[in-house]
Amino acid sequence: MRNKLLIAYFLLFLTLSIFNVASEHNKLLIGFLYLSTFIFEVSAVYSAISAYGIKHPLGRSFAFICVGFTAAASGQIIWFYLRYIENINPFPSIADIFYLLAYIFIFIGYILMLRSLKLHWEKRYLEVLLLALLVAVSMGILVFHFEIITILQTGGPFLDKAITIAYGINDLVLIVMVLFILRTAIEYKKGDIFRPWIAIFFAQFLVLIGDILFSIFSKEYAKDISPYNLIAVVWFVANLLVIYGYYGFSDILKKAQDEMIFQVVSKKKDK
Amino acid sequence: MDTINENIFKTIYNYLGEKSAELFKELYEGSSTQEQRTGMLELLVGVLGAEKVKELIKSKII
Repeated sequence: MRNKLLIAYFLLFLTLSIFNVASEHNKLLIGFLYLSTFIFEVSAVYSAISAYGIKHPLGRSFAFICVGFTAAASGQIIWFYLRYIENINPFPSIADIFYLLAYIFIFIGYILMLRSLKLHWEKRYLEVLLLALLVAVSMGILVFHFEIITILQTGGPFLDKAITIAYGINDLVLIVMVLFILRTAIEYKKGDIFRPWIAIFFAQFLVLIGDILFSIFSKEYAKDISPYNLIAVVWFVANLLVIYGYYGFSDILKKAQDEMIFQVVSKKKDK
Repeated sequence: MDTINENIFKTIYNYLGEKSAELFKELYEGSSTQEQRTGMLELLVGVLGAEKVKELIKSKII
C-alpha cells in the first residue's frame, strides 16, 4: 500500500512538473508536495530507529540521520514560507543553515552506521566497486568544477558564494558516503535488507545528480524553464527512495518480529 | 532447561535489533543450543540473505 502511494506521489509530482503552466497555484502545490516528502523522511527514519532500538548501534546512527532529516525538513519549511508566503528569494537565508546542518548530522549518522557494520573490502566486490569508484571520481570532478571552482570565479556577494561552496564540499563528502552505502548494500545482495540499502544508495546518488545538474543549470532552473525545472523531480525521487528505504528497514524487522510473536503465542497456547 | 546462548542472543541483537533479540529469547528460552542456532540461522537467512550468513559462519562470527 505504501509503495503504491509513493508511486502515485511520484506520478502526481512528475505530471505537475511536466505540465508546469507556471501558475502560482501549481508551483505552490509542487512546493507543498516536495515539502511533505521531507516530513515523511523524518517519520520513515524514526520507524527504523524504533525497529532496531535507540541503544542499538544502528538505531543510534539512525537517530543522527533522523536529526539531520529533521534539520532538512525545518530548512524546507522555512524555504517554503519565504518562497510562497512571503514571495521573496529564499537564497541565502536561514533555511541554508538548516540544510547545511542536515548534511553534518547525516554524515555523522553514516559514519557511525558504517563503523557499527564493520565491513571488510573483499576481492569479490572489486569489479563493482572499481566501477563505482570511477563514477564517483567523475562526479567528484563535476562537483569540484561546478560547485566550487566556477563559484569562486564568478562575482557576487561573499555570503552567497560561501554557502554554495559549502554545499559543494558537502557533496564531495556525500560521494564518499555513497560509495560506502553501495558497499553495504552489496554485502546483503540476496537478503531482504538489500532493498532498503540499495534504495538509500540510489537516493543519495540522485541527490548528487540533482545537485550537479542544479549547479550547471541554476539560471535556467531559477527561471523555471522546461525541462530544467525537472531537476526538482530528481530530488523528489531521491526523497521518495529515502522514505521507501527507511520504512523498509522497519518493515523487514517487523515481519521477522511478527513471525516470532506468532510462534511465542502458539507456544504459550500449546502449554 | 537450557538458557539462551549469549553468542546467539548477541548475534540476533547485532543484526536484527533489540526487540527481535528479546522476542527470540522469549521464544527459545528452554530450547537446546542446537535449536536456538537453527532458529537464529533461519531468521538471519531471511533478513540478511544466505550469502551473508554463509560468510558469517565461515568467519566464525556465528
